[in-house]
Amino acid sequence: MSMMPARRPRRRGFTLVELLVTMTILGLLGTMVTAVMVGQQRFFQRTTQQMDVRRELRTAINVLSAELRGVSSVAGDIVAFDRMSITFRGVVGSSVVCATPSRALVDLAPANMARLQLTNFTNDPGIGDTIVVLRDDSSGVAGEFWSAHRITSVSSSVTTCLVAPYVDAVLDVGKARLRLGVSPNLPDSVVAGAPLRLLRTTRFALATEASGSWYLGRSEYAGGAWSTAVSIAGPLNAASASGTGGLGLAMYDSLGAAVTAIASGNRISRIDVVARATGERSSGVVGSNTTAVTDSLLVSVALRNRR
Amino acid sequence: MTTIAQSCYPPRLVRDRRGSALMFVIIAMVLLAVLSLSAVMSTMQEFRAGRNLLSQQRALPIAEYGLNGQLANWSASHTALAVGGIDSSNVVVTIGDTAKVAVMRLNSATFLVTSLGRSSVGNGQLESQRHVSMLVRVASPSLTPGSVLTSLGNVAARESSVLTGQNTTPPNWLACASARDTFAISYKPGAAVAVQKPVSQSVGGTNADPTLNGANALRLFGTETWATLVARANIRVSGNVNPSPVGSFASCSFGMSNWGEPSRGGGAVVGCQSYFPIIYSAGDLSLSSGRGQGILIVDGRLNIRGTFSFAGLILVRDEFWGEGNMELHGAVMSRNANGAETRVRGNAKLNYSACAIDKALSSQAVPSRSKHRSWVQLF
Repeated sequence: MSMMPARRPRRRGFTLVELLVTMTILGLLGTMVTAVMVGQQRFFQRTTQQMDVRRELRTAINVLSAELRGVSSVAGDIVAFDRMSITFRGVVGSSVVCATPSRALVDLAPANMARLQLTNFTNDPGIGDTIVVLRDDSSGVAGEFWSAHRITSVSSSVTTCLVAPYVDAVLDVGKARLRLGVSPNLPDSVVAGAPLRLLRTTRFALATEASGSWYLGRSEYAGGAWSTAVSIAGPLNAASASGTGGLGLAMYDSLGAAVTAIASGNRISRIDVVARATGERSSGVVGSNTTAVTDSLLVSVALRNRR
Repeated sequence: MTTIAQSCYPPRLVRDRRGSALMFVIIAMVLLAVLSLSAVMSTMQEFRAGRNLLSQQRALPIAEYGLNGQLANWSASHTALAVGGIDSSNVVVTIGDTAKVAVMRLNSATFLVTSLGRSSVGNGQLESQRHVSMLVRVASPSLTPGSVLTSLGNVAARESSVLTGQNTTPPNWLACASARDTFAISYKPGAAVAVQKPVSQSVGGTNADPTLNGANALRLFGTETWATLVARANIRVSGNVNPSPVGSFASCSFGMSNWGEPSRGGGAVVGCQSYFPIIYSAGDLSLSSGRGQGILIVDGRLNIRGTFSFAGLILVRDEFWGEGNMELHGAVMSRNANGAETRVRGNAKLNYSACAIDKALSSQAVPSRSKHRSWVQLF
């Protein structure tokens, strides 16, 4: 019995040509897919950068314009300015005098009143802050006068100002009321119902951080010293004394003439604020040169208390 | 049918064709989809941020529209508020954009106006609001009569008429502060004053007032002039009218014959009690019945007869004649420009009332933004 040799299965493979063709096609496909993916990635990055830049610009403009609107240039609230920074007495609160237990004390209407909101503070009053109170001894509108006083003490109570006509005898019970000690003493013409403003000197300017980037910083003068600037928005473009940097400021009077000196600061009626920012370098599509996303935002702020 | 060729060859091995192209394509598609979706999401987010910013920005002008509207259309009801009183209303700017405005009287001359502007109301994802306030000061005409009857010409009081300089509160009027008494009659030095019954007819006496010698006497009234008061007239009458208040308990229907409601108590038109108009007559005026309050300016002769009653201030260019049962609470000032005599006779009663004068003047207060620090944003 003869043994037949075991039949080996035929091993069929790819020919070199087949492999080359396949690899070429796969290579072409891979290159195309990669190009599309990289393009998409760069588009995504660029879009994200654009969003980031615009968000920071919006934040800078919104915060700055919100604080500038309430500034009273005619009352001398603008302390100093140049093309890239501004220092002013900002209104950080408003209230109404509920009572004056003595000429050195003033009780304020409680916050969160039931009928009408009379007391609003974005920053709690502190010792050293300034309040201005409208005196009631003026005849008519022409003779108005705001009396300025330094806060010497701050306390809170739920028992002051209980029967004033501004508070609700039932709904406002138990709400905290501030009592401020002031110096110099209040004049007799400051009576119940007198409007009150809380002022704090504030500065907006560009400042660098540890990373070397420029940010819009806000600092306050409290307790006899400037606080460390808090970064509001950024990174923005580097500061420039000509106003062409990350923050540009331009002041105008009511006739549209530029105001460039603080001596004429009480004529300022409008402040143009422009913020500029630049993102990181990138290219929008494959093969193109890398460029940085650059954008700017301009707003004209009309001072509401300019007369 | 089987062919020979097919039967001569062994059956062809059908092997699994294993490849990775499909997997690569799927992965690539997934990656592309993710990246594209991210880009779309980013763009959508940017769009939403812009849309929200637009809505947020719109809320501020809406709030300021509410504020400025109150100032431009200052209501007499605001001026009539008691200290601590609030008058609130909703101002619809456009569909979905509304300002809620409130006015509170802080003291005699100062009002606080707040406005909560809301945009895209009803759209939970877009609704924004801004809250602003403004101080408003009112300036009333400054005018202080020195007597119940002031005249630049001759004056005659006869029969049962009574002129009293004693401060008198009109019947049933509330919230009237005490005030000093004054003269019954003030006249320009040199003018003839004839009082038939001096004790009972001119309570407070007469006074030759040298200030009435001035060129602007009874033309300049404190902070106002004859012309500015005329310019602010609410009612211009022609011919003879018998004014009477028209309204209800809560409302007042304004018109040429409605001069407000000086009566208090039963039968009074309550809705018109806070209405103190300036009434102007370009020529002579005769009144025989009816009632009213406010400031009556007559560019000619004023003749009041019958039962007409008035509370407030009366300014007359020529002579003033008060007769019959007419009654006044307030003061009369006649310039006697045509040289004729001012006379009061019959049962006419002229009562000096600082309260009626004050109400008439304060109702004409002109509102204005407080200076320097009127506007503030609330949080």
